[in-house]
Amino acid sequence: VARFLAKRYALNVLAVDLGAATTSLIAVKKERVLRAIHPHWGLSLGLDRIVQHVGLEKIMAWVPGKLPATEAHARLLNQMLHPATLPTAPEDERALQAALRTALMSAATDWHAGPTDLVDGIDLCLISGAPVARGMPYGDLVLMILDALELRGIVTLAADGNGLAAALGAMAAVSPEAAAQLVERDGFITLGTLIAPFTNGREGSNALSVHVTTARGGALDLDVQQGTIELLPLGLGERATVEIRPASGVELGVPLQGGVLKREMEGGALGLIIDARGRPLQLPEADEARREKLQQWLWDMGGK
Amino acid sequence: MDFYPVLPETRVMPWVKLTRERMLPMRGEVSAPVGANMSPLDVIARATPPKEIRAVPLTRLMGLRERDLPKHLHKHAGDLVEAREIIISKRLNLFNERLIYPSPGAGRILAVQGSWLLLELDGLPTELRSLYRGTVTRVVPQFGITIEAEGAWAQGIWGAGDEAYGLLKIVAQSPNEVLTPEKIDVSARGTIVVAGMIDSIAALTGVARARAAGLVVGSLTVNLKSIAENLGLPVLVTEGFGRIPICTPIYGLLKQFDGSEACAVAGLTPRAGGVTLRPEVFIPRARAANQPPAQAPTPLVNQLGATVRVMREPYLGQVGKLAQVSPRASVLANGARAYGAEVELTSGRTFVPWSNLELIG
Repeated sequence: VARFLAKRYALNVLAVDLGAATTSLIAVKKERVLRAIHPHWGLSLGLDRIVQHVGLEKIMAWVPGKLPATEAHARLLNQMLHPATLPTAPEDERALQAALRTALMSAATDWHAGPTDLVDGIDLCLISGAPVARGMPYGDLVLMILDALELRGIVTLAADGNGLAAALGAMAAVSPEAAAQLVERDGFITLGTLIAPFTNGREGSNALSVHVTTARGGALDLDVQQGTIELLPLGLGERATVEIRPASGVELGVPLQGGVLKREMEGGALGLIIDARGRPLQLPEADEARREKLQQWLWDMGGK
Repeated sequence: MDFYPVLPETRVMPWVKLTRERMLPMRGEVSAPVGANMSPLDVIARATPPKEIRAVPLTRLMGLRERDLPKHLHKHAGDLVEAREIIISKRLNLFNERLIYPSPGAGRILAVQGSWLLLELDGLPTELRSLYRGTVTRVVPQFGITIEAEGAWAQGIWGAGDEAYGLLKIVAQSPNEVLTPEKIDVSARGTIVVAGMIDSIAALTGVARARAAGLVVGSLTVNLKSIAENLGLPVLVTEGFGRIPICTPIYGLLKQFDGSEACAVAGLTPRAGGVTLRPEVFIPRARAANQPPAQAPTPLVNQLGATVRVMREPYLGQVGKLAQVSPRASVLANGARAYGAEVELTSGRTFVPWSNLELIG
């Protein structure tokens, strides 16, 4: 389906699939297909292998809030034993999301061309797999992808909420028109548009000045600080003209005119997502500060 | 009309007929005929693995020149060798110290050519025992049998190690009792020890040191997982990881048969590769007079009043009764929405999503 979307809509596409037993990253850029597939890492049966390969310490580094390592490990192993169950407690979600983050990071890093080769210049990121199917909150899902892959530039984010990606890919080989109609008729859920500048400025300094004018005439002005995530409300199907003026030293990865990027962008379930945390992401060394930072990011994305 | 989805099951049955396949991993010879009554320790099949050809670099191992090899060889091409029999040796010094190369196993020297020796090693024969007390219903030539057995049966969720046979020894006075080293003594030798939970390395290694045949527990703490996997002792877990008591239906069943002959299959990773290979404990029972024959297990029915077990925190391992189906999706503590049911647990009535419930019985 990544190849179909790339060819049909002339986009650079990154497909991220978090399956029960496999983690896959497939990027299609100008007919070049890059794959990072780990057949033994997954949300359920592969969780133990993720813990063994990545290490519990690295997973715990991504758990917001206080959760003992042994308890997190036990929760992950119990998820492995009961793969079809739904995490109910926030601690379950935290442990699972941390494990998935590190699995994605490892999968991207293992790609021999380097992780940035996968994510640079991407126009559309399609997320599929068990987290989407099981109803992980969209904010948590997008934050997990942003933390793990450090997407950058202007990227449309979509989720395969109906589990159609594999079928669409197969259908596209036989009937591209039918597949296109399905894609254009809510086959995927548009989560929104990500604006992630290349920046490593001082935390708290101004990174972007954003002016949003919606089709209905509403307007919004916002100065985005370095180190923050902002969600701007723009609903499903809504379009807005977005003017972004990056601060000195901040790049958007796209050409500017007169120092300003002016483009029409689409909203989605989350809206416009501005991730000015910088690339590469820097986490505080101290445990307490790191947990607070992770929790703050989760709240910024509408999570708990 | 309420909707009752199909739920997974864990079977805990006091009287059931099981059909199990006992197969060699390679072609061999099956000795049990159809209709034979087998005891658990009866050998039903034997196989000898294919011979292994091993190339030995003699000059590199012994530090000799190729032309000097013949005068140091004790064995030559075509000779049979026993395990540990010296094939070649070299004197190291004036004190009669010698460097030797003993054969790694029984076999035959195929050839000595140049600096290499080719050794053909015999494989170790494998014997497959019945494990289940029952009747042979089918023979698969060169591989094994299908056996039918009647008795009590309980399924686990995770296991490490192979198979165990012995008498059941319940060391826990209650389902939530933690196994400690003091509870294991010499009387555990050859038994399948049953405990509520285990959380210490000393207790786990204590069971192995006591030469128990196997261990059945409700849960293991995570630090014991890799130890259990490498201990060589069959360990069967019924609930999961952490500190989760063995559930009351399984504890009650095993307690009822304390001291009885049992077999435990710790098995491979459960549900690996899409095939359900659940660990299990089976206790063969003789049919009493006037008792109807045991039947093969039939699926449990998801309905009001059914006994269910919760498979996720915070009620992981708790058993209760299905009290009411929720007509609408409920919001869970983590913000997700799910359909489910109200379950009457010992701690009170609570909503549990359908995906986190299984039928038990």
